[in-house]
Amino acid sequence: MKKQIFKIIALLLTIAMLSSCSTQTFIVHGTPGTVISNSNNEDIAVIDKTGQANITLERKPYSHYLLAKSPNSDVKVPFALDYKNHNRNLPNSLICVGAAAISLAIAVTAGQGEPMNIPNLVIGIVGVVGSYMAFIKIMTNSGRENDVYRNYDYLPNQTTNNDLIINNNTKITE
Amino acid sequence: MLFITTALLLSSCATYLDVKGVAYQSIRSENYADTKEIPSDVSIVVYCNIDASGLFDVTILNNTDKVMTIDRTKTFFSDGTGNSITYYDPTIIANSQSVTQGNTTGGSVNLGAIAGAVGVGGALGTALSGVTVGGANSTATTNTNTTYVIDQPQIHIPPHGLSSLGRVFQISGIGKGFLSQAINSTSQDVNNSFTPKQTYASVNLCVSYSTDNETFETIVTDIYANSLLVSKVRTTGKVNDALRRIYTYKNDALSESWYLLFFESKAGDSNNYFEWPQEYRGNNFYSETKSFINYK
Repeated sequence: MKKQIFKIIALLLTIAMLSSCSTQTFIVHGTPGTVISNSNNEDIAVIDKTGQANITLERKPYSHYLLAKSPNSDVKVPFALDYKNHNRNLPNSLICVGAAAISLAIAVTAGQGEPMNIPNLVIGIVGVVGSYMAFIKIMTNSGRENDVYRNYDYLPNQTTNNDLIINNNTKITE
Repeated sequence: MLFITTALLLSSCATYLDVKGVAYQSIRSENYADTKEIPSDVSIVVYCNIDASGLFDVTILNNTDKVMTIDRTKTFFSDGTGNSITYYDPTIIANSQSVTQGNTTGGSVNLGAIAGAVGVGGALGTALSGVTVGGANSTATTNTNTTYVIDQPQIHIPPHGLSSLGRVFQISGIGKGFLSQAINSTSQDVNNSFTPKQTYASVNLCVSYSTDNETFETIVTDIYANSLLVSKVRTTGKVNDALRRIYTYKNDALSESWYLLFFESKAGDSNNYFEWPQEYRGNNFYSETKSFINYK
């Protein structure tokens, strides 16, 4: 009985974790020493001597751009973040349906061949209610806005634009 | 089965992020002076501020040792559409606020009636006037307070003091809303530079001022949009390519005193777009909005 309860809990935790990935890490390529800032002008990374910086961003809200300041310039140059759309709606729904189906099956088989008693009844109720709660949790997060937020990824490689900008009639050298 | 069908139906209409393009505009003033360049012997300094939404407001510095008077009836804003608007607005604005109080048992008292009976008039009488609704077991009384706002034809600024001109105007052709329309209204990239005579958006500000309240002088400030660039995203998600085309065309884009870089992002499925709420959409513009400074 206890194993079945642990299975149900593990399943619900897995569903919760799958639906709560809120950050993403990608690489920004540029000149070593370039400081990367977010749209609130907060410094978040420095490009290392290999010409790369690992950036971890919240996926919500969507960041249209970051800023890059070369070591020999006082100008912060915006560069846009490229992205790719996916459709993650269907797998999530299937997880919910699967979770509900598995929980129902556990609840039903738990009672088979055994007299109907309080522990079996509790397992059944926990399984069904837990699965429905997971389903409702994900489905209530499935508004159009949240679909969009869930369905994009920043591309794994992004580039700065400092090579194109002239500052005070002097081209920014990198 | 109903459970599974509902889940599949709910998940079938996926919506996606669509950044449609990037737009850029910059503004210049022929009268513009950097703060460091203002001579100490000038009488008046005019600071024109334009925010990223295209809202225009003006602050005046009285650089003399006398009280300065700004004649708002002869101070004008014109945004290049041919209309000039004075800063003095003779319209009397009435702000009313009604408060209704209800009582479900007992009798009701009409305060307005009492005020009239005891001879209270004027503002207090107005404040107390009300409507009483009576029923067998319920009553309600509504009291209305009205405040009248009257504009001032003149502003007086103490020696070396600062004052706002007191009105904010929307400049046609400037700001995030305009750039959003510009991106949505074209299928091609746009790369245009403008002279003051050719421009699609401008502001002419004429301020009338005096230090003796008898002889009035004017100071005129001209501001115009000197560039408009629209770069469409050609491959979904490749936004930085669009931004790089803007920098390629205008590589001094970030050296302008006032510029606005705007990303048009929407969300939707293959058929319809909808406005993505700010909490999801995040910050979709980057700007430098230094004040335009003129002096005399």
